[in-house]
Amino acid sequence: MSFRETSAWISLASLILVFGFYFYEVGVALRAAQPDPGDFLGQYIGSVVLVVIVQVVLSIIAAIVLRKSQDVRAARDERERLIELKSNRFAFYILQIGIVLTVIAIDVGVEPFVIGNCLVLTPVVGEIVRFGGQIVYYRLGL
Amino acid sequence: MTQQDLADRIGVTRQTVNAIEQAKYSPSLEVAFRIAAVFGLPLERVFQYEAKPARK
Repeated sequence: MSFRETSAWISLASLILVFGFYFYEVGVALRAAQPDPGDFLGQYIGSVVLVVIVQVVLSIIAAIVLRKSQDVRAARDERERLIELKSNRFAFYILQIGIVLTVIAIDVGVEPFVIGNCLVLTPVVGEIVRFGGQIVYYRLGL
Repeated sequence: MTQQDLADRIGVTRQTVNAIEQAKYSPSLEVAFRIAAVFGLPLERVFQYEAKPARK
């Protein structure tokens, strides 16, 4: 597996694990009907920091493990740039859909805590689709 | 010649050479010409176009 594909797997897995736990906690709070937005701001910031730390640490480990592979140091070539562009396009669609759904949610009077978490969920899903798309293109070809 | 040798000579990664070989990626004209130049062959000897059957 190439270093770029490994990086995509690391990003995908860290996002799903960290924000999966975050949204599980959001779901529990919503079911209890007593969400405290203040708590979740801290948890959101903590989740972002944790994702960054996990990605940096695992990327360093991957670079060490795959250090003999030429692509660790090589610049992205045309195929890799095309894969990124196509995957970014899917993520952009997700962002657009998420924004539209959030605006609709505001219009119908959904509570602010849910609106705020829609705004957290949209880029997270966009990133998951982006890295998932990269992996699919790396695996199946363009 | 290994995939890595070819990759180094045409300025792409080994994975991209592998993807071209497995017909998982169609290279740009520039890379296609560079590959042909490495082997000293005309482009049409290195790459052939197979039209996909039209959808009904």
